[in-house]
Amino acid sequence: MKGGYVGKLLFVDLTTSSIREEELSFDLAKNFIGGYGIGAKFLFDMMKPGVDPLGPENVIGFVTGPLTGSGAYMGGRYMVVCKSPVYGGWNDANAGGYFGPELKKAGYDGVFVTGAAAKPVYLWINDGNVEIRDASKLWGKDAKEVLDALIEQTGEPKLRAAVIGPAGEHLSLMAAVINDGHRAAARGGSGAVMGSKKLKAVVVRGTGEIRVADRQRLSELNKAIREAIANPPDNVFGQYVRGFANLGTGSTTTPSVLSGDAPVKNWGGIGIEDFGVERAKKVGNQSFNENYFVKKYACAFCPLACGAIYRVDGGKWPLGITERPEYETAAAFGPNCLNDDVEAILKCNELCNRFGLDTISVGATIAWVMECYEKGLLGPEELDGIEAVWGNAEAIVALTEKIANNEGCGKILALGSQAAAQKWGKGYEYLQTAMGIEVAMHDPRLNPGWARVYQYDPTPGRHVKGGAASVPLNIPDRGKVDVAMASNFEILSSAGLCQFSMFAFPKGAIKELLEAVTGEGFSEEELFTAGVRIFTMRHSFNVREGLKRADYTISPRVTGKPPLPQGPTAGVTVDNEKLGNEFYATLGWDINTGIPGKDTLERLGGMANVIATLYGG
Amino acid sequence: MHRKIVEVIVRLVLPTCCKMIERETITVSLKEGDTVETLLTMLGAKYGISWLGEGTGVIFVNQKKAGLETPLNRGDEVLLVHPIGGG
Repeated sequence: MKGGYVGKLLFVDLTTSSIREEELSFDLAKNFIGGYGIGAKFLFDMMKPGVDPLGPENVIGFVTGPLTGSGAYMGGRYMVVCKSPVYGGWNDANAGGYFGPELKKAGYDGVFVTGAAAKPVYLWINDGNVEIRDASKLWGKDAKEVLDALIEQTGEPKLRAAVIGPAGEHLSLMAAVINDGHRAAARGGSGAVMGSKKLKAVVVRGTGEIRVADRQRLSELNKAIREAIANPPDNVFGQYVRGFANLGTGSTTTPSVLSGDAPVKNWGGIGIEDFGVERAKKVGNQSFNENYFVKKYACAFCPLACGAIYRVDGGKWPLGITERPEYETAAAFGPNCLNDDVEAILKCNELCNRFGLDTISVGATIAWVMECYEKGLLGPEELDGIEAVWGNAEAIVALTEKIANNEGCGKILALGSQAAAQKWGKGYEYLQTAMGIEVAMHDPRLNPGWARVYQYDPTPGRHVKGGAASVPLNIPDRGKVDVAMASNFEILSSAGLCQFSMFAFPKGAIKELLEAVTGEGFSEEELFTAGVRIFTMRHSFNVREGLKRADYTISPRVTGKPPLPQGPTAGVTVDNEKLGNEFYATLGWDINTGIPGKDTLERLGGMANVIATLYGG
Repeated sequence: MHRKIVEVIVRLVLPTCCKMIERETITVSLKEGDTVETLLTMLGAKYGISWLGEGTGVIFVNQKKAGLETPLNRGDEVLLVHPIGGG
């Protein structure tokens, strides 16, 4: 293609210390776009089913999209792909910051790492020169400290790095991959996979140019996007743009708590009653900003700039410079634990960033602990003397520190709530998980479509996956709408765009950006099919692992079984099975097994490997 | 029959980005027997908020979930929660 792609992929085997390059073929790029798509295609081909996710045969990939670093607004993302150690299936996670564009400038669209090193190493990719370097002196450093140490070791102040903190080294199943000190490809345990390979960091520095087929057109499209963000429409999408630009994702925390969107008290509470208006306001970003705001933070090529740098001086947990928590983080450590101590939320956010932890899973696991504590299933004896009473901010911070440091009860809790329930042999009934991973902080009892996304996406429990999450149930052809929105998400993510482009961009901009940058024409139909193809490839990875539809479980409370007695979602039970049926049927998958039909795979094209695996020949 | 004027307090829980209403709390005069729907129609006409259409929020009257048909009485506190949720 004329632009967007570097055209090269890097493959590293840490067991044999071998390094090789491969050209990215035109057909692969056209069929799978980038990111999740190219990642899923390669992992399906490179891996055998049944391998230990924390063994050397797992492959972890760091993959960009054609728009990553191209100069297209919001095109700063890269994706981490691997087999998840949490649920033993397909995993991907996505982060912004500046790592993705730098990887491409260093010479590669993606890096796939297999094998395991005998001692800690990091991968140093410097303008096409690739080395596996000793990381013994970096092991144990947190995700911020290690950046300074890497700059010292390489002598390159402009490097970028995707790293693990101590949590990944300890193989915490909640371990994230962190870049730029606070951007996290957080979910599904990718950090533990890096840790299992003794891979502390993928470090990149490049001066290469990322080609763009039509710079004039790209410039015009960017101008239109900038104007759309500066003058958002007076509808829900426009309100997202205004809110995120002014206050970040937590601009919605207060209304989410009260409307029933944010789970409260481990999904068992009612925001307006159990948390109330004043406390809901306290954990909202308006309140955070008034006290701690230093300046805005934007990922690469982003005019929206939904991040912020904060400063916390004094108080119980002085942090100095830190970052504004995302909505998910504030919700997980806040109302879901009945906690309104803002500085505790900031402290937990900082701990998770430094130690390399997924804030959603850590906050949700602590909420589970608190419910078990209330019900008398866990006590100070299991929790190293910590009194895990609802809303006890000191206890929330102490438990997060235990998890971060992998000590005492933290050794058990670092594996997530489901593994902790198994280890202690109790508390199963209070788990709020999908296929074993803690579900994100948007409640299907308010917007039922979340149930389908949480339960039936190949990466369960995520709030960053596509689908008709917030679309009313009673629309005609709901399955089609769900599939169309899922496909759209696959495309924009795989292209390297932030998901917020979905509501911030003018209509049709994603397709036009792809065409301007790559110089390749994409019809609407081609893009829709490519999105479904990517979704199906991710799902097929799970099918090959033996995961059937019945394995895609979700905790009953999350779908209103039983329903809440009061509050805005009183009486709501979500028919998640019906949503799943409609979704699977629309995709052409068997609604009982979840296996994609052969004719469906043939129609999609580019799925020969999947057809051969599932149907032979 | 002539209906008495009653005042209700409307509290808005919106992302502060929503510039449609600057103040968080406003007092609105209604007629006795008016409902939440009447209130929302009034607010819509005055501030351009389409509470009755796309993206209708969650409405509480005195901390209890209310519907469009819920009647409003003197001193009631109406909480309008914007439906947006993200990130």
